[in-house]
Amino acid sequence: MHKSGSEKVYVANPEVVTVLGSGESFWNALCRGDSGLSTAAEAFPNWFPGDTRYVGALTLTEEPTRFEQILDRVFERIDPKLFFSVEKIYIATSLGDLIGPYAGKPQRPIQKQLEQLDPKLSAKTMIVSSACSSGSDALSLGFLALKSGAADSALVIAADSLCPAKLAHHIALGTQSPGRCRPFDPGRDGTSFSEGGASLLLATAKGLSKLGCEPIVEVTGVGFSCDGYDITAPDPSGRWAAAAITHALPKNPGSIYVNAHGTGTLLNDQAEAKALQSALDLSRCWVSSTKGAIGHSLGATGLVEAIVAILSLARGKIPGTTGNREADSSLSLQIVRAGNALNQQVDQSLSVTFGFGGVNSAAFFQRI
Amino acid sequence: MQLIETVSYQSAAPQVPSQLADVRADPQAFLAIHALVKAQTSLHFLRTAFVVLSDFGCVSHLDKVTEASRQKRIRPGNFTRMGPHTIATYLATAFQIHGPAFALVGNKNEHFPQACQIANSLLQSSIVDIVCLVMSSPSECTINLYRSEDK
Repeated sequence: MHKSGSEKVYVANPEVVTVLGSGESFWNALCRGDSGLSTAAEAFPNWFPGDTRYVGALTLTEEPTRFEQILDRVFERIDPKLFFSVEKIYIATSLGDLIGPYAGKPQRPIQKQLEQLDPKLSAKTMIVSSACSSGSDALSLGFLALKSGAADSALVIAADSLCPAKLAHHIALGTQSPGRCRPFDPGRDGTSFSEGGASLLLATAKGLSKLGCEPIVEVTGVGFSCDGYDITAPDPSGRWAAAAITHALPKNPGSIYVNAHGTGTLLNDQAEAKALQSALDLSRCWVSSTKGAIGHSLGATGLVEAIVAILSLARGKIPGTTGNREADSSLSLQIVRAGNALNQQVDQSLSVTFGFGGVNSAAFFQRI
Repeated sequence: MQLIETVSYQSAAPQVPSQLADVRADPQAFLAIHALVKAQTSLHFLRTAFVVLSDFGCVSHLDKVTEASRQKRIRPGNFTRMGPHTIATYLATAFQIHGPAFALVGNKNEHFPQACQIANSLLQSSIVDIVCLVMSSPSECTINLYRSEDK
């Protein structure tokens, strides 16, 4: 796979927009063990009055254009010169809003946003959509473009919204917790859906030099697979997710922080634990999920969590699993529990993402 | 990258393919399965990628869900099957292929070169040996099958 590529691929300029904020305040809050979740009643009083299940909603002005507003915030945090200087742009999203002027068509506000910057940008932009794996798949495609020599720099962007209609669908499906997201906890009963976005620059040494950007970590490998099992449930054996992780795994893995998909649904956490057991030496892995803190931001979650894995590696801190009261011993994982971040410098970090349809993605990062 | 085969299937109302146990897929997924049935190329279970290129994804299911949402109603069956990537994941399920499966949202004419570049990156990186580039619209599906020049 990519390991034959000669050029190293680096990450620079990571940015997030989450219910725990952005920039340093986001990282500090995450490491304190804070949660940005609120009740559905507080987030969407007209749709869910009195509803006490926890979700992650950004403070936005008008509900029918949530996706567009989130995209604005994500774009605002990107150095404008990068849009014009990079050779490729990958934008990840899933479904966007289900109501309003862009219902089910998030590509339209994306195209509008790009055209406002420069109509020529669409020629180097690709929108990637693979449900909750969209963000990590966009990252992987950017990595492969650089490894294959098709480009020296790529901007990777992700955004998605939790419109109330989407939340209503997830409640009906049973994927949203009736309480709050408790990843890897024996009492887990579903995830807490949220919204947000992220961006980062991928570049070779040549690309970094041209753009004047400083690298913070190296991407060493990516992998993706599809369960081909069920349209909503993961393959309980975790074997295809393990194949994606194995693809991404470096030749000589050291100590690893795994930012798990960790949705807090019964099925996901079981299948994910089996995949990690199969692909990794778990005695050298610390595992946490950040969905109890920032929720499951749908098509953006893969890139948001990849950035958590990147920052963890760069700063020597592993955020805890907010919402987890007790580690589910049947999963046999070394879970970093809720509370303050663990001061632990690892050699590599891994971001794992799964999505509806059984899509699995993995990306490995290494200190430089 | 070498184009080894092109298959296509047209129908305004495609029948449910016999390969599918789950018959609730969007008609665009049915079209894609009917198209791939016509392919002669053998597909390795892990070393084949499905890359869908589509303007709006699964339009039929999408319209049902957005219409229901406007009225504060839900259609969970359509909701879980309306993302453009479900065309790829239904192909994976029907043919028991476990390589990458994702969608690119864009116009077939405008974004075809970029989709080809992505297919080429997958092949060059040796993640897969075959890429099925699935160009999907509500009434037609065309699948280009590619492999590396050096295979």
